[in-house]
Formats: sequence, structure tokens, C-alpha cells
Amino acid sequence: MQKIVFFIVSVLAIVTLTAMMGIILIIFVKGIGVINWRFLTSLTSFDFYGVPQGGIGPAIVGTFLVTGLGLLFSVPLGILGGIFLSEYKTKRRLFSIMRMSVANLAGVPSVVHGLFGMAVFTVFLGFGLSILSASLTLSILALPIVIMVTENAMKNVPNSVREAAFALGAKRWQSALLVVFPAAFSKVMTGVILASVRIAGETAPILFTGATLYLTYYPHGFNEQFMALPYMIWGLVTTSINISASTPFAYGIAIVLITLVAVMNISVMLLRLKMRKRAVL
Amino acid sequence: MEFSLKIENLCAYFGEKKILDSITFDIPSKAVTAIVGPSGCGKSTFIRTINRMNDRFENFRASGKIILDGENILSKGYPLESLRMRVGMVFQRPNPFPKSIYENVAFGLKIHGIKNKKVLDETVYSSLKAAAVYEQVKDDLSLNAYKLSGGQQQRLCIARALAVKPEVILLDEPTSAIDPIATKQIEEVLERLSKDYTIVIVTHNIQQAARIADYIAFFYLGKLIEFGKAEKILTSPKEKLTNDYLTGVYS
Amino acid sequence: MEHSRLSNYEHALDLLRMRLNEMFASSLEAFKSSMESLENSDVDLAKEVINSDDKIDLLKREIEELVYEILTRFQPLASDLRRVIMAMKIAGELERVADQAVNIAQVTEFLKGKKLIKPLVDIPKMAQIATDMMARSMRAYFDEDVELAKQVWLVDDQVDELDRLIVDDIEEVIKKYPTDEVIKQSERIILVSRAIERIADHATNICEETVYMLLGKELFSLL
Repeated sequence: MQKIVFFIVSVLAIVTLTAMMGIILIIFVKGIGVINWRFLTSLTSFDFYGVPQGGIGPAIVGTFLVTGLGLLFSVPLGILGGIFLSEYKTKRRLFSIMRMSVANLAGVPSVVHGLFGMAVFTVFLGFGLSILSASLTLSILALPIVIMVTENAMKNVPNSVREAAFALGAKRWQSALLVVFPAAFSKVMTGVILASVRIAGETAPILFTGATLYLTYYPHGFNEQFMALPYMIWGLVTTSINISASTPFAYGIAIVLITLVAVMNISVMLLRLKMRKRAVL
Repeated sequence: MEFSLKIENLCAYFGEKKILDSITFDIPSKAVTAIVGPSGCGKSTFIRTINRMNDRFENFRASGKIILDGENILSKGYPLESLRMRVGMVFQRPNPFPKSIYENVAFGLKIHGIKNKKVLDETVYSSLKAAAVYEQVKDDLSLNAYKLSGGQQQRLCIARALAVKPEVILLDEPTSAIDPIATKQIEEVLERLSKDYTIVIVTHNIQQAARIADYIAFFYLGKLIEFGKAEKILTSPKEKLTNDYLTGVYS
Repeated sequence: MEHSRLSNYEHALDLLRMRLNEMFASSLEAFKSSMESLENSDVDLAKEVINSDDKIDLLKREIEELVYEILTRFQPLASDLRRVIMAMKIAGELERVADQAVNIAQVTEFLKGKKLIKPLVDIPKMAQIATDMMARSMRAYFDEDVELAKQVWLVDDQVDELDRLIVDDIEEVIKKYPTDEVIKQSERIILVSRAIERIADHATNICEETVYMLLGKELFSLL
């Protein structure tokens, strides 16, 4: 019996792996021709026939900017929120409501985030279509992730360490910030990186809040529109004048995105490894 | 004889369940008092009530008095941080912080606002020495505490408790998770420390009490059955319950 | 001697009890026989008593080793500790009782059937009381009878009184007939009297030790 199960599982694993490798391979093959330094750094332009010239420089910058800002808004707040939820166990009822809302927020489809962002940041607060609006919207997407990851990481720190802190006369915030959080740090960072990977790849939230398909210059300020990599892929393959010419370009962008994600994930693994060596929890 | 702590009619409850029943006795200063008794007799609850660690549990309630330096530490307004500077605790499983050895010992001082490096250095040094672990760690105080052996970690925890210069040190079965040789080292440390500190140690190991205690308090089902000098209790206790416990009727 | 390693505390205590019983019986027997030999001028019996002393010494050593083993193996406390330590002390008392019996038997040998300068009146009386005390102290120990122990303890005065009487008596005899023979015999008689008085003392010691074993208090404080 064991052998049959093992066989089935192995087959499925191989199929899955092959499929994944296949996807990456196809994208790689179709897009590799486009990759060069110019591609990565120059401004985008299209010639008369709709064939893309130049590169995706602004898109890379835009993605980085908006992801970075999004993290800036969400991470500190999220970490504090997570610490609070984990360490301060007062009103039971209130806390379970809070926790539930966070979880719900995390599960909401990103398109809804985008609409919300548009309504609040773009229109109501008047930030308009801008990097600011988009990054704020992305931060709302990232916030529940960071909160949950932080809370989880903090809760995973064994109570014995907290007790030791209290027995020395530490107040709750001292225990939380000076003992428990440093112990949970690597897990929190892992979560933060995963959150950033997530929001770097999001299209819907930035769709209505500031991403644009075509800029001839790098954005000068946060109140301006910007280009983003995922959005650009979509744009090139659907709305471009010359789709067949644009498609390889799109594959090229896909490669860049996949590489970015891979780099982030590898750094997570390396970070974990390094933390383990230091024998932190 | 001087007494560090005077316990008066201490009762403790977890919800409806009464864990401690009218405990009354005085703990002598600068001596080792061992709290012994079969499992579930309330020894741990008792000791954790002294530094009010049980306050963390919502359904915990204590009545009666515990007098430290003339004040009842169970009274509502009593500052917990100050209490815990004067009454330190070492736990059953060593629980050093995931920080360096230095940071572990200095932690207590730092959270109470002491920043002067010289003071910190000196206190870390003297605490590690008093806990008989300095020689083994002196080469690298920045080493992560988790790299130490169990016995060393526990002595580090003792050093950490000593750093804030408490009057009383509470220990909750501190060697039950430690190997015999390290246990012996820790017992020697406690004997030495008892010259300057009041030591209260909960132990389920009568032999350990026989080795290091000056006074023994025998608890049974939440009540204090007998308290007295160790030699007297161990050779001719007054109460039958105590005698039964010591002769192995309850394990 | 060999015995299998004590596996069980109860078994150890049983063994201890058995050995003590043996030793009690042997010491008491030695005393009785020594007195019999004296009263009947039975030199052969006296020799037997003297030879049997080795056996009693051996018993004492056995008991001591047993006690050491129990202490190290089981580390008894409280009443258990007292029981074991008192067993060793009582064995010591019994060994000395046997030694006194030997002293009495040696006097029998010395007298070699000679006529006694004065008929033994008080000495047998004293010996009877002492024998009684020994027998009852033995009962008090094995029956764990505190009251009996107290009673025995109180009888000791009688023995001391008799000892004084005997010494006075002998002094009178010496004054009347200060010959060599008389003096030699007198010395021996006083020796016997002292021996019996010591045996009575040991009996009271055994009672004190029994009470401490049972109650953790001094017998004296209970009177």
C-alpha cells in the first residue's frame, strides 16, 4: 500500500515541478532576447509602428518606489499593531473583533483595495492619481499581512522569556519591545519581505490610483503618476498598437519580475539561515 | 532572628478553586528556606504569589498579607516593578533571553534606567562571579546565551536575578531540569549566596532540601503543615503528615 | 558474610529487626548463663559464655553494616532515620551487655568452685531485676511500647540501690576478715555487682533509645 501511495505522490510532484519549470522556461525563452542593459534602464518609447523602443527603466523605478513607500507606511504601523495584539491581552471581546477585521482585510480581493484607494486617497483626500495614492493603497493591502505575521511571530516566542522579564520588574512594553520582539525579529522580517513581494506584483490596487501605461520621463515627485511592471505587462499585451511586437517585451518584463521575486525569496532564505546560526529562537 | 518576609493568613484562589489555605509563617533572613511537599500542594503558587507573578492570570486572587520591609506587598497599589527588584526569581527551566550573556545580566539594570557603562560592567562582573559562572564565560561575554549548557544557563539566570541586588531570591525547582553535576554546582552557589540573601527554594527533592536547607516548610494540599529548622524536621518532625511525606508515603 | 544487595526498604528493615532479635536473645542468654554459672560454680558454663561472645560481636558488626547500607541506599528520614540509627545504638548496648556477662563468667572461673566468703543473697536478687529489665526492654522495643519503656526506666533505681547495699556489705566483711583471699573475692564480687548494675543501665538506655525512635522525644521529658 505504501508503495502505491508513494508512487502516486511522486508522479504528482514530478508533474507539478515540470509544469512550473515549463512556465518559467517558456517565459525565459520568449523574453530573453529582449534583455539587455538598455532594456533595463532606458525610457520607454514606441516608434511609429508601435514597436517598443527603449526600455522599462521608469517601470522598474515606479515599482520600486511604490512598493518601498507602501512598506514604509505599512510596516512600522503593522509591526506595532502585531506587537500590541500579541502582548496586550486585555479586553477579550475587543481583541477578537480586531483580529477578525485584520484577517478579513487580508482576504479582500485586491481590486476592492484599489477601489477603496481610489475613493479615499485619489478623490476624497485629493492626492489624485499619484505615487502617493498608489503606495497608500498598497500599504492598506500590506498592513494586515504585516500585523498577522508580527502577531504570529511574537506569539511563537515562548512565555518563559516573558516571565523572566517580568520577574526582573519589566513593564509590559519593555518586555514586548526589548525582549520578545528582538526574539521574533527574523520571523517578522521574513513576513515583511513576503509582504513586499506580494505588493510588488499587485496590479489592481495601483490601477485606479496612479499607474499609467506610458510615461516619457521618470516621475519627479510623489504626486505624479508612474509606471509599474505588472501593469505594463498587461498593457503591452492588450492595449498596445502593435501587440505582436510588444509581446516579447512583455515576456522580458515577466523575466524581470520573476527574477525580482526570486531574489527576494532567496534573501528570505539566507536571512533565515543566518538567524538560525545565531541560535535565536 | 530576623525575618525577611512575614506571611499572614495567605489564601490564594484560581477562580473558585482554593489553592492556598491560611498560610502563616515567617521566612528567616539570609538563610535557605525550602518549601517541600507532594505535587499539587501549592508550593509553586505560593512562591509565585510572593513576587506576584500570578497576577498575570485573570482568575487569580490572593487574600491575606505578605509583609516585606513593613509593607504588605499584596495591597492593590503596591508597585510591582519595585517589588520585583527586591524579590528576584529563578525558574524551573533556564530561560535566558536570546541575547548575549552580557545583555542578559545587564537587562534588569537597563530597564530600571541604569545606563552608566562602568556600573553595568561592574555589576555584570560581580553577578557572574557570585553565580559561579564567570570563569566559564569570561572570554566572550557577547556570546549568545543559548549556546551555554543547561547548568550554565541556569547559573546565568541566577546572575541575572542577582544583578538588580534583590533582598530575596525565589527559586522554583531550579535544578529539576539540570544534570546532577550541574545541580551540585548550583546548590553550592545557593549555599554561598544564603549568607547575603534570603533564599526561598521550592523543591520536590527532599534530598536537596536535606542538603542545603536551613529551614523547611512542608506544604500539603494547600496548607502549611509544619515549619522549622531543617535538622529537626528531617529527624523528628512534629506532625504525622510530615513524617509520612519524609518516609515516602507520598512520593 | 554475604547477603544479596538490599532491593527493598521493607526487606531491609525486616532483616534489621531479625538480627536485633537474635542479638537481644543472645545477650540476654549470655547474661543469664553467666549468672547461672556463678551461682552454681559451673566453670564449664562460664567457658561457654566467654566463647559465645565472638558470635555476639559478629552480630553487632552485621547490624552495623546493614545500617550503613540502608543509610546510603535509601537515605531515610524522620521516623525511618531514627529507627535505623537507634537499631545501631541498641546493638552497641547489647554488645556491652554481653561483655559484662563475660566479666561475670570470668569471675566464676576465678573462683574455681571455691567457697564463697559470704553467701550470695543480694546479687542474685539484683541479677533477677536486671534480667527482668533486659527482657522487658526487649519487649518494649519489639512491641513499640512506650509505657513499658518508661516502667523499665524507673526500675533502674532499685538496681543502683542494691549495688550500694552490696558494696557496703562487702566493706563490712573486709573490715571483719581482712585476709588476702577475702580481699580478692571481695574485689570480684564488687565487679559482678557493677557488671549487673551496668547491664541494668544498658537496659534503660535501650528504653530511652526505643522511645526516641518511636516519638522523636527524650524519654526523660515524658515522665
